Amino acid sequence: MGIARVNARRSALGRMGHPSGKSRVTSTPGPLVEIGSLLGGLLAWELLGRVLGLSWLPPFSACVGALIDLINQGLILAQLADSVQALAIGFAAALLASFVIAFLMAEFELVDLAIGPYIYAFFLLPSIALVPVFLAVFGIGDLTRLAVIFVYCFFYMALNFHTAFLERDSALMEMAESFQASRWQRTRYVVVPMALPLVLATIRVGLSRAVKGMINGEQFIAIYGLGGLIETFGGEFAAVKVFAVILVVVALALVLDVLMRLLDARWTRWAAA
Amino acid sequence: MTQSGGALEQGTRRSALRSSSGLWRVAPPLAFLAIVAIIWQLGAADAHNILLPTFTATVSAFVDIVVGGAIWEPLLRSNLTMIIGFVISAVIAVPLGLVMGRHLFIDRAAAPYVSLLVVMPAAPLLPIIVMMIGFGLSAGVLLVMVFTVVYIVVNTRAGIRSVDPRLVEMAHSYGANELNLWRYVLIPGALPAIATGLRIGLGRAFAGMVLGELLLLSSGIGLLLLTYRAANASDHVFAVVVVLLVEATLISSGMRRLERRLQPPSV
Amino acid sequence: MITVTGLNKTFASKVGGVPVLRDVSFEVRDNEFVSILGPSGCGKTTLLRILAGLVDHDGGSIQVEGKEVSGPGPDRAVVFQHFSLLPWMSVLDNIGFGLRLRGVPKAMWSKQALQLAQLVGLQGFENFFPRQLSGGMQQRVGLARALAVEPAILLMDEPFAALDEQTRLLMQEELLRITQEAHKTIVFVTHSMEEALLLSDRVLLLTGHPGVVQEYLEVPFDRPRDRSITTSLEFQRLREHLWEQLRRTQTRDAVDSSDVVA
Repeated sequence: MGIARVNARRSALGRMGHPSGKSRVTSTPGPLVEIGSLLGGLLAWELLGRVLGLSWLPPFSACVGALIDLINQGLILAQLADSVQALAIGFAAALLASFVIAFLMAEFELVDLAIGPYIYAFFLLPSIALVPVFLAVFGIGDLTRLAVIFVYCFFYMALNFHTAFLERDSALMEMAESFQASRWQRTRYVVVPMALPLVLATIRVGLSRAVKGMINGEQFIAIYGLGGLIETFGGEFAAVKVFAVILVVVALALVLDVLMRLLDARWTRWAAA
Repeated sequence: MTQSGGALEQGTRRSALRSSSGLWRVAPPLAFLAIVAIIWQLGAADAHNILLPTFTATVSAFVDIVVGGAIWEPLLRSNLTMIIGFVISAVIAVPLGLVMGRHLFIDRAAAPYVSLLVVMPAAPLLPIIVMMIGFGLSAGVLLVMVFTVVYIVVNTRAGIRSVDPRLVEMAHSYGANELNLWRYVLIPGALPAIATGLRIGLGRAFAGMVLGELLLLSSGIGLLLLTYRAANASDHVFAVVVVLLVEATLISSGMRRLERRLQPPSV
Repeated sequence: MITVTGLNKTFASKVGGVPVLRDVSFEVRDNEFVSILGPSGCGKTTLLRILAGLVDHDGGSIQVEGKEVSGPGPDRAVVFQHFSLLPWMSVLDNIGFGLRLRGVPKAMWSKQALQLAQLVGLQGFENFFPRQLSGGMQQRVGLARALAVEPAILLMDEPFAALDEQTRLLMQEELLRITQEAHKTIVFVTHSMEEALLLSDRVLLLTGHPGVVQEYLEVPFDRPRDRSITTSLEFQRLREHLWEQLRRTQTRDAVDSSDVVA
């Protein structure tokens, strides 16, 4: 889950991974149990939906059917594109800003002392609390959505990038110096590879936070994007359609997560346990 | 050797500056805050925008709602949602995490749902929750639970997993049964991680509470914010946010203190 | 009296079974101190864990006082290589742990734990936590914990291997002193020839993969002993002999594995 590695300032997030006891996991056919459990869950959903006939729990097949209908009507893809576009802009801005801030904090101690406590405080605070401010200042509009995406991931990434930039193995640096490595060479061969696993893990978790920010922001604004659709269908009490959009949201979150994991695995193979 | 030891030099410079005096810890953040406040004040005054209150207007609105008392009743209402949701979450999540940490099959079976709950946003479930139980207190409580449960589960599970298997074996060698094992080895070993999970969980519960307030607008802070926004009293909107930030900070530092108490004794 | 006959053990793994012990037979007399000596990977720790009842065996039999071993029992107590103290319990609570598990009332187990703390030289440290103690002192707690349950047999799994050299020597002498006072049957796993010869009445030499009994060597020194015996000619001769046996099998192993590669 990576958050264990992205362990900013004294385990602010606690343990989120599988830190130990991995050896115990190897002996059973894990994937089979997981797939079975997932299929069982879907089956239970389907059956409960059919048998109970509750308005808020339509069977899974009905939700998939609604999803196909919505896609055919062209509703889903247009809003998905809209959401992803906002996500890309908001996340890119946060990525750039957090990278620059973290770099300045790592290079200049005064910057670290002046804004470090605030970055940390806002990282600990739920970003949602800032939404009323955005709504007040930016109104019901695209800027609010972007601002929500930004704050959902900015503080987290800034804090972790800062940790990554400070993570310098002095023994390895000494080794590099003993081989008369230039400053550039030390950066290229020691500093960057050292920081890379944490940076990639941070980007992955940051992206997943940005997706949450995107959906939440859109739900507040309730006009466009997937979150807008959820609010619209929710207002119509159309549970099948709400679930259909949720399926898209989950798929988006999972696809981005898997993509980042693949990238991570490719670039930081040496760090794998 | 002109460019030697960048890291080392930086290291000494760092420690020199940091340890020089307590002033160095306090002055830069305060200076930064002052600069932000001045820019905010001048910028907002210059913008002539009723939506953007000045710094001083926000401060006086803050004093108004806190001393005038407009904030307390809604705040209490909202916090009730959070506390109920958090307590139910803990009651469900801690035992679940304990069982997952110990029993591989249950762990495996729950794994996909745990990952899903961590990765997916919880807010889209809100319309479904509303269809299920309406707009009342229980909707907020349920949303808080969706936010909270998984984080307590994951940390509790990790706590059990982090218990040294050699200690379990040792206890077995002295004839410990499953009950002894939980009492003397597993629970004490997992306690710090459970405390961490509860701290993070309470932070999540707060987030869930705020989200519920903003989207459900049923009562409490959400309704208060809506009222202020409708009246274009954005200085009061800002002040409510400041109250929320203060509360979150208090919760976070209080839980941290509690957590440190539960840490294992060290040298 | 411990009687091991024709013991076999194979560990399951992804590529199939890995045999660790083959046809191991020996016996330990009452109040005898036996060391199981061997290079790493010869299965000596596995053998001890089987004796402790922590690991099942596949074939053969292990009897303690004529009864087949099928799990941990009150007649045996283990001293672990990495101490395995509960970090959240004080020294006294750790020593009394085994008694507590047996339902001994607090007044009794704490009294006994106090006495044992004294015996192993931990008086004054009863309320310390393991983290606050040095490695040697932690293992004293481990030893006291094992003695507290008054087992007939003490099983020690490389108990001094995690300690530094000086502490190890000191602890060996402590063990000689303590076993002199408390009569116990002791099975002691080690990879150190000196340690085995200094402490034991007999040395069970285990070699190879899977481990087989190479020799069961009688150590002819009188008790009480102290470190002065290590300088005797007899000690040197026995050490030389053990080394010869170990080297022979090690070289044979090396040739075996080069055959496998070829």
